[in-house]
Order: sequence, then structure tokens, then C-alpha cells
Amino acid sequence: MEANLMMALVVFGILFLTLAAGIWVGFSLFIVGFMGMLIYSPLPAGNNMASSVWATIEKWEYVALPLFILMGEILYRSGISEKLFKSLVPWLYRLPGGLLLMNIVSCTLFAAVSGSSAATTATVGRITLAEFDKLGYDRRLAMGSLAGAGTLGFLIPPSLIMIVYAILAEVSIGKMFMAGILPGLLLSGIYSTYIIYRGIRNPAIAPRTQESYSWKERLVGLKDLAPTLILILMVLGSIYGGVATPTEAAALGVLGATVFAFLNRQMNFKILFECLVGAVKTNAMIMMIVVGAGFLSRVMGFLGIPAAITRTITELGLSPYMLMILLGVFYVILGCLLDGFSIVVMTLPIALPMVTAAGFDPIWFGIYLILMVEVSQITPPVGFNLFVIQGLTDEPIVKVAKYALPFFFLMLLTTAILTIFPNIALFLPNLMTTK
Amino acid sequence: MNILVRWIENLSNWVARISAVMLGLMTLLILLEIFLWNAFSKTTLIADEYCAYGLAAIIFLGAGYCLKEKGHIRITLVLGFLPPKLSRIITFVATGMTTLFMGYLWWYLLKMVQSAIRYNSTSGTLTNTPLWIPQVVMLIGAACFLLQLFATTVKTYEAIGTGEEVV
Repeated sequence: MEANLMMALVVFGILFLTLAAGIWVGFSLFIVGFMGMLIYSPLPAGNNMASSVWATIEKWEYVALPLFILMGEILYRSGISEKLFKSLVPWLYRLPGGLLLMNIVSCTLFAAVSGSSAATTATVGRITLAEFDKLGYDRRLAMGSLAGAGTLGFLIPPSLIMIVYAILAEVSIGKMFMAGILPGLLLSGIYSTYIIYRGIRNPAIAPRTQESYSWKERLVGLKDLAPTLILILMVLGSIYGGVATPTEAAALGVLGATVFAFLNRQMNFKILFECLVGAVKTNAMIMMIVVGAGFLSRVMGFLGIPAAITRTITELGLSPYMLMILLGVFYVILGCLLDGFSIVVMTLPIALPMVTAAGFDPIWFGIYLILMVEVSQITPPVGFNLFVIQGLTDEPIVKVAKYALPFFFLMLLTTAILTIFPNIALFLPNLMTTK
Repeated sequence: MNILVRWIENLSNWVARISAVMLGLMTLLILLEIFLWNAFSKTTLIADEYCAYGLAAIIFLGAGYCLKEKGHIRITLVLGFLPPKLSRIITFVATGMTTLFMGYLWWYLLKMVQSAIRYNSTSGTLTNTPLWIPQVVMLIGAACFLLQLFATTVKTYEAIGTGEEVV
């Protein structure tokens, strides 16, 4: 066996031990990188670690991260999701599957202003789940569809995971954002089709309400959609048009969200301060993982591990599709055990050289990886969307995961479609003239 | 010991509040930059650079609070299969090791800042900011985080007996 592969085994062995011992993910990555350097490299580990920390955290591009988190915190408390719900009800209540579609449509729209899946699930779910219970809807499908649709928060821009991916993979954050739009709409369409199909087969899953709405009510109700649509336009429009960098767009988003929350009478300076503290906390959580991964990835580079693994895989002579299927299986297993950020930062240094060598575009692979992260959000025992829904309903994790199972398969279907037709992801970024 | 732990947790709360204010100021600085650029074609010259320093600061300043609030991600799956007492002992050892490791890292961060002062390293941007200034802020944040890790270690030790969930 190649010496580098032996090193890889040792490094992953230590990683497994530290993670299993319950050491925080960020520190596990740090410690493993440190041990790897100590054992295999003559370079001074301590100095390298310090300079790697500074190089990773002092980045203008990463400033988008706390800002989008802050925007999500503000929107969660802004009452925007109640408005979204109210304005969509008159349009959806008559379709087969009825308001269950609300989970999908609200999550799709909300994902376009929110950067995280857990935030999308929580914000939409705290409105819809209570309503569905009142209307006597099928709870299994209500929770399952929320778990599935909530994951759109990572795929539809803005997306915190995309920012981390783009910086580590050295692709443009703006292009990455644009690449998520069509796959996000595709997944949302597939979910909706499934719910309509279930609604036609068994109308009892979504009992009809007695209410009815006139066209006038429908159109007037649309004004409540305005805050969401304006925010989407401000944030995504400014990035797509090349007027603002993602960080600037995020600051505009924070401003817009704050203004709407104040107009909605849901905001005061005390709440705003709570949002800021909450954003600081989540930002620290994500960035500690990123900082640890930054160092481990540097060490693996020193040791030549990614190159060695890429060589070994290339020698196997797998077809590109076969490689993607194998990677998919690997990611689904990993996704049961780890959260999305850890998956991306831990596997990227090795997976990216491998797939680009097989002829895949790094932006396309980013979308593939994010779909895998979405899968990880709803696979037990570690799945953050499951945790959120457990928190909202008190149902045990395993049950929620079972309800979400059809949506798990729909995600895999979407990933397969995306692999066969990569242009679904690449079409919009290729149209962009700015970088 | 408990007084010390409480003191440290208070400190973590306070530095988190300070970083919340910093995040607010960073947002305002970017908005100011956007406004100046679009209205008067002028720039603050510092928005990008100082926001990046701000980010470096709030990560460590917020990390202790995040730890105290059980916000950092760890995997408890394997520990869940072990007898509770054993799993609490492992948690204590793991937290202790992490604290020692952070102490080691802090020492080298300190050395990095010292050499930035010695060699007068600057940012190389228009502002020519001496690098030690933002680095010292990061160093203070890392020290607060180290203290919180120490406090958490103490708590995990006490939890071996009481069975309380502290991380």
C-alpha cells in the first residue's frame, strides 16, 4: 500500500476516536491535524496551527455568514412566516393535498431569504404544524413534508453551507448561489407532485375546509407576500445583477428584515439585541468547525493524502456515474452520523480533487454535495431537521424520520436527475457575466 | 471553585454581548459603504478589511458563550451506548484534553501576535493597519474561550457524580 494511504488510515482512525469520545467536531479536526503533523511532518505544528487559524478567520467573504445568520434570526421573530401563510392559503386550499402543499411552497419561498435548513424548518413549521392539527390533517405527511421541504433552506440561496463550500472550493459564492436556484425549484416541484398524488389517491389526508375565497380576496391577500418577495429581490437580485457582493447583499437583507419586523410591530431594540447574540452564537458554532477543518485540510495537503486517494480511485477506472453513486452511498452513511457543515468541510479536501479529476464541474459538485447534506438533515440518528421537528411536536426522532422517508427517496431521485443533467445547476451561473 | 465557574460564565455572557455589538457595527459599516458608494461614488476604504477583523474577533469572543449554551456540535452517539457513568468520565477526560489543547493553541497564537509586533507586520492595505491590533482582540477572545473551556471541564468533573448534563 502507498505510504500516503497508510497515513490517511491513521489520520481517519484518530478522527474517528476523537469524534466518538464526544470531543467537539471543530476541536476533533484540530487535534487530528495536529497529530498528523506531529507524526508525519518535520514542520512545526504549533506555529502552523496559529497561522492557519488567522488565515481562515480573517476573510471578508466569510462575513456573509454571520450576516445571513442574523437575517434568519430576525426573520424568525418578524412574523413574516405568518403573513406568508395567510397569503398562500386562498391559493392552495382547493388543490389535492390542500394545505400540505403549504409546507412545500412556504419552505421554498422562505428558503430564498434564509440560509439554513433548520431555520427554515423551524420558522415555517411553527406556523403550519399547529394549523394542520386544527384542520385534522394527516400528521405523518404533515411532518414528513416539513422535514423534506425544510431542507430546501440549504439548496435555495442564500445558503450558509454554500458560502462555506464556495470559499473552501475556491469558486464564486455568487455563482454557487445561482446554481442552487433551479435544482431547488426542481426538488420543490417533485415534492409538490408527490403531495398532490397522495392527495388524489386519498383525499382524507387533507380534509376540505368549509371556507372559500373569492378572487378578490386572493389578489388582495398577495400583498402579504410582498415582504418576502422584496427581500428575495434585494438579496438575490443584487447578487445576480452583480451590484453587490454576497456580503453586501447579506447586509442589505439584514436591513430589510429589520425594517419589516419593525413595521410588523414584532421588533424592538431588546429583541434585535437578542437576535445579534443568537447570531454570534451560531456563527461561533459554524466557524469553529470551519477553522478546525481549515487546519486539517492544510495538513492533509502537506501529507499528500488527497492526491494519493485521488490516484487510487482513478486507478480503479470507475465510470463517472459509478463514482457518483459510490460517493452518494458514502455520503448517505456519513449523513446519518454527522451534521451538514462537518460533512462538507471534512470530505471536501479529498472528494473535490477526485471528482474534478473525473471531469465534474466544482460548482456542480457543490450542488450535489448540498443535496447530500440535505439528505443528512433527515436521516437518523443525527439529522438537524428531525431535531427541529421533534422540538416542535415532541414526536420521537425515529418516527419523524419514518414520516420523512418518502422525501428521502425523492431527494435521491433529484440527485440522480441532476447528475444526468448537470446543466440544471450550471445554466444560471453560466449566464452570469460578473464573477 | 463554583464561584470561579460562575464568574467565568458571566464573563462569557459579557464578551458575547460585546461581540453582538461588534456584529451590529459591522453590519452598519457595510451598509454605510453601500450607501456612500451608490450615492456619492465614495468609499470608506475600510469596510472589507475591518469587517474581516470583526469576524475574526467575534468568532472567539462568541465561542465561549456558545460552549456555555451547549451550542458547539459534538457526537454523542457512541457515548450513548456506554454505561452513563463511564460516558460521563469520558466526557470529562475529553473536555479536559480539549482545554489543554486550546491552551497549547493559545500559546502559539500569543507567539504569532508577538512576532507581528516584533516585525511590525501590517495589513498591506490602504489603511496599513498593524496586524497585532486585530490579532490581540482575537487573542483576548481566545483567552476567554479557554477560561470557559476550563469552567466546563470543572462542570463535567462535578457531573460525574451528579449526572447533570453540562455539555
